[in-house]
Amino acid sequence: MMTLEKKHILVVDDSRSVRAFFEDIFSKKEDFSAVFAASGEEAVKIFEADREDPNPLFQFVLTDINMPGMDGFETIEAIKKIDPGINTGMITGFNIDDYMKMALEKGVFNIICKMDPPDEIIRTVDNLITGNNIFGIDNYLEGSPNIVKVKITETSMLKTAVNDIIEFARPNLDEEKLYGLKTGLIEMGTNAIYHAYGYEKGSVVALKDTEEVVIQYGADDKKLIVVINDSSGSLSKEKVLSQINKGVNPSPEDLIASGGRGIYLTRYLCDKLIVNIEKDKRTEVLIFMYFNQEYIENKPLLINQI
Amino acid sequence: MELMIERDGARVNIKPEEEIHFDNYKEVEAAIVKEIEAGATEVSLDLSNVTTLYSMTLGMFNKIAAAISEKGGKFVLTNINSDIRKVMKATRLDKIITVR
Repeated sequence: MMTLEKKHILVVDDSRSVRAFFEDIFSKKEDFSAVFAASGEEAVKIFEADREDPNPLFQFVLTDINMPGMDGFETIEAIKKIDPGINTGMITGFNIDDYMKMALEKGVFNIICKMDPPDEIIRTVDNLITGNNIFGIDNYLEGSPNIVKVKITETSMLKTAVNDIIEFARPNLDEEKLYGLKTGLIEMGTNAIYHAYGYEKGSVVALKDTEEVVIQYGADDKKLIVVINDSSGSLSKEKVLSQINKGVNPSPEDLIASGGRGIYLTRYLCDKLIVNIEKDKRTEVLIFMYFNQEYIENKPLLINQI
Repeated sequence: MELMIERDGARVNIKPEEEIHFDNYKEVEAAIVKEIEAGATEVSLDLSNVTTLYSMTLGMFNKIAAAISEKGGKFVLTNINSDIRKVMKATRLDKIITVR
């Protein structure tokens, strides 16, 4: 029998019930081993002791943000001082937009939402630890649903693809969500065509053979996912986070700017947005729309760069 | 793109007869700029036939609003639907551009 290599994680949350929730979901996964701390201070002590051990265990620290004493940002800062290479993530039940400015200042690109389905929380943590399985719609849909793939070679094809996706989604999404999806698809589709390859906005574009934009979409029982992929990899995680923050916390200059709202607007109107970047090679944007789940303000922040 | 343009002195009302898309919004921009250059001080854009606005169009609106404001004029959006209103609010452009 094959033995799974365990992923050791340290989970920090001041709420007993949240720790119990994580204990429950991680204990059901054979390849995870979780240790719990009730405060940032306790987490730092546990982590320090772990790193003094000749065989340190923890590969990942997942911390709540809003805690008495050291908050999540301070906890991560202290833990990174002990081991700058440790992978970390944050989680909160509050509105993540409230932490966007701090995330930008501290260079935090992933904040998980406590209200996310447990299997998706596990998947996100797994991705943050291993860096594997980030790219590709297959990694985010359950079962083996049919996936449609469309290669976009000119701007008019984007409109057709968006209309096809909206019709595909219509039986499962209400009009408000369809509107959000349509807007998000156009925003991210035009980003992939115009920004990724440097074409003048508003022009009719025929992509060169070396310029690839591919849209894939499919659905499982709970959600629809659309993936928009370009082969430029011209974005960076800092730029994505900065643009989202400009939408959430606009300066007077940002308010009157003529561009830079697309990613923010997509995240605002769609249920979930994940941006995956392989620098100078590819950018992949995943748009999630859930059939029954309501996201209002508690949307996760998920930007990965490998 | 077909645009219905009504002039009343320095006031101009422009109504796109179809959706404003990422590949035709510059035609709307050009028509508005032409009216401003011809002396219009209040330009209304009637969005009765527009169901969806994208960030490129919003950016264009900002440019237009700034250009006409420099000349002491005003840019106004009219007949916007609830979805567009939501986008205007989310991007705070409802604070910059007059919506009637």
